[in-house]
Amino acid sequence: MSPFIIEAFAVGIKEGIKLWVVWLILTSLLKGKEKTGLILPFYLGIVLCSVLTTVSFFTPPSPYIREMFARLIGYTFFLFFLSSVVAIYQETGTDLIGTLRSKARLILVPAIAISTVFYFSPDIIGSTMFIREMAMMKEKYLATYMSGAFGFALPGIIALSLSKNKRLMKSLSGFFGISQFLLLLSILKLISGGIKGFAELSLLPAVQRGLMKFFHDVVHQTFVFLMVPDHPLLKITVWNFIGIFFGPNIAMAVTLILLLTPPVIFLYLSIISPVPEPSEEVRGAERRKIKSAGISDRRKKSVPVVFFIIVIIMFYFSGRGETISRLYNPKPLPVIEDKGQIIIPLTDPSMNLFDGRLHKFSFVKGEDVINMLIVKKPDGTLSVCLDACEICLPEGYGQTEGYVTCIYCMTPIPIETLGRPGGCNPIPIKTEITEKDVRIDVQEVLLKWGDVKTGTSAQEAIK
Amino acid sequence: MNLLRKMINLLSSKVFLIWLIAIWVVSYVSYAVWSKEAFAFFMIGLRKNPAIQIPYAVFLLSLLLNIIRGSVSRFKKRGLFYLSLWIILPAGIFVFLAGYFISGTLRQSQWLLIGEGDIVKPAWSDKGYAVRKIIPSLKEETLNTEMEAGIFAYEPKVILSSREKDFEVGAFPPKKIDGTYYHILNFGLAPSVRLSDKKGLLNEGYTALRILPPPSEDSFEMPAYPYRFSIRLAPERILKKGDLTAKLYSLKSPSYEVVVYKGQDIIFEGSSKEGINFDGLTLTFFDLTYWVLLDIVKNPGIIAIIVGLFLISFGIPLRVIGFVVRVRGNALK
Repeated sequence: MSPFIIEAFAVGIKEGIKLWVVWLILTSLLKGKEKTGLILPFYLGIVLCSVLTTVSFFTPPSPYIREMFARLIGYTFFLFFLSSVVAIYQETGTDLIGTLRSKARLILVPAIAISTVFYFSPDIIGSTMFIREMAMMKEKYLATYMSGAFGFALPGIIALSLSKNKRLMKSLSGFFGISQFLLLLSILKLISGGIKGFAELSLLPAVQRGLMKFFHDVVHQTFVFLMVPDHPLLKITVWNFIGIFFGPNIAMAVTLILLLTPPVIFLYLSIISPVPEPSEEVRGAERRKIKSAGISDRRKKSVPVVFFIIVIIMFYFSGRGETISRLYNPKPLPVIEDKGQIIIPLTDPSMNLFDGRLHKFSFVKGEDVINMLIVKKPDGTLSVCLDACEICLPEGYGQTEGYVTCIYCMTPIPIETLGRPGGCNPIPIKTEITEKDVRIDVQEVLLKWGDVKTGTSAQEAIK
Repeated sequence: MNLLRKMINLLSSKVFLIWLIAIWVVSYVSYAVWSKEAFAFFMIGLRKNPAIQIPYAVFLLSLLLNIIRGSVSRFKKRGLFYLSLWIILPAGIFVFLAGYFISGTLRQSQWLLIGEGDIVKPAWSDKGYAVRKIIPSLKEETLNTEMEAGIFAYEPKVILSSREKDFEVGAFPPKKIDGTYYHILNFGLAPSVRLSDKKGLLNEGYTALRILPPPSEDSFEMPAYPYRFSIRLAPERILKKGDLTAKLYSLKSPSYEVVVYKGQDIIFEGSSKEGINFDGLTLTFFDLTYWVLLDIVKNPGIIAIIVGLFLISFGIPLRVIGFVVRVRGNALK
């Protein structure tokens, strides 16, 4: 079976699991609280989602739109994670909502509908665009779409049959409160929010990149305030020590701490805070029964939180953050023209071009954003290419073990063959590599970029 | 009075502080996701925009009142010992963030490229200082394989003179002179160059070059002449031992590798200690001096940032100790 069919099926399953797990848990939660009417705004949200997805089918594919949806997915993850933190904090005893509680009923129905649209639409539309592009490229439209649709429906069949089990549904409602449900939503989005198929399954790399940027900015500003001098005046050892703060390891650690802190605090407070005492009138066995039910409820609500902590830690250590996706696709660093050349240092505190990892750089000329990649080949030399080939849409390359892979067509290219033009290979650029830096002639870049742009006219012919 | 009390109650409430933090986080992430440079926007806003300054000031006030409220509550519940373990960290965070606020709003800075004999006068001060001497502190020679150890034998210095006394300014820590901080931000060679032809001198001057550490490259142009000169230090000797090759550079009496461009064409490429000939012209190097990029800063918030960092670094282990003490105390009960 074609790998594209399998990938479409996997993408469909991923989105299907997200939707149907949320539906199952929400249904059991609302049944447990005897508010089953609130499932209707959820269904309304799903209908709106389907309408938006259908509309997106007729939108021409574009990397810009895909980038916007990727950002929207990350943003909605953040909003839901923040909501879960607020809900967890609320449950620890601090009333953050206060007088807003009385107004909550008025906004609950539209809030559920809008939240449903915001939660599912970016992911489903983004994944649909991905499946559509795969189908267009391989010209196997029916098979690819059917595969994706079947993958999406399969978890639904399982979820619908599970929902008939009343005992299971009642049991599920015991494990989930509002905070656990919101945490579930954010964790589901974190581990499966990618829209590049196998290339980037989860949001962890994006979250880490954002935190790394924030950390870098704060540390840099603090050093400016402290009047730390420039690089040549510091010993390399001191500069390397400072470079630790700008590196990816700190960002990964901070990501893990930020993600784990709210659920860990919830667990800690669940363990140490006293169980609420029943009123004075209730005595003896009845009193003990109520307290025991309270303890049991607390333990049940802690179970999904422990599960989420384990899932986060597993994802973190199984891929070490940025390599958690099969493809390593770093964000391009901006570079500028200096007297007709682009000069990129071989090493600086935040990178080393000889570390064997893929490095990307973006150069803006007029309206064009031209991405370049640099990677060390097995023979120790550096290969400098455009982050694009002559055939596919210029979505760039990611790195796996020993290969760079075209993100658009998923063709793996052995790193040792980089520098040879043609086919799906990234377009090589003539460069001068000195002892200190890589020097790229801007005219050469613009000339080669012209080859990529003529490739886009072929893409329009496909439409 | 009633209104003042209500305001103080609101500002000192934990809920209000948490909402302030949450609003800032949402604003920051929203800007970061959709516009990318959120931190730069925040720092620029802190400098000039009351819509960012006022909420930050309210946040600091709320944080302070919450720390006071929390301290009183902990002192009453658990005593002075536990309070002393608890308070250092939040106090450090408050002082650090207050330092950021003061620095962001009041900091004034200026970069000056100076050589010996120049006058240094901050824009905000009447007092000026003469650059009496630049002590380069460069090593005599260095190998390209020894760059880890740096190119300086010891810290470079600039001697600034007023009428009354001399001040020695290094790279770090900065020197405080009359309420303003001075330190060397960057340093380099400034050879004197002379362009002449058969008839005589055409142009002459010092040129500040960023060619340290070797083999960094820089370029300069001379007004009214269509040439661009790309220059870097040339190795005095190339040393070989087996497969290893090292280049020896003289830092105090350097040779220069020069490439002369006329438009996009290279019309000369070579190295020289004294000068080069091209197109009927002679470019001569003589009288090596040094340039210093001096960072001049007036920042009333720097002390708070430093104190805050110290308190935070002490406060974290004290918090851990306090937590262990409390858990053990509860277990014994």
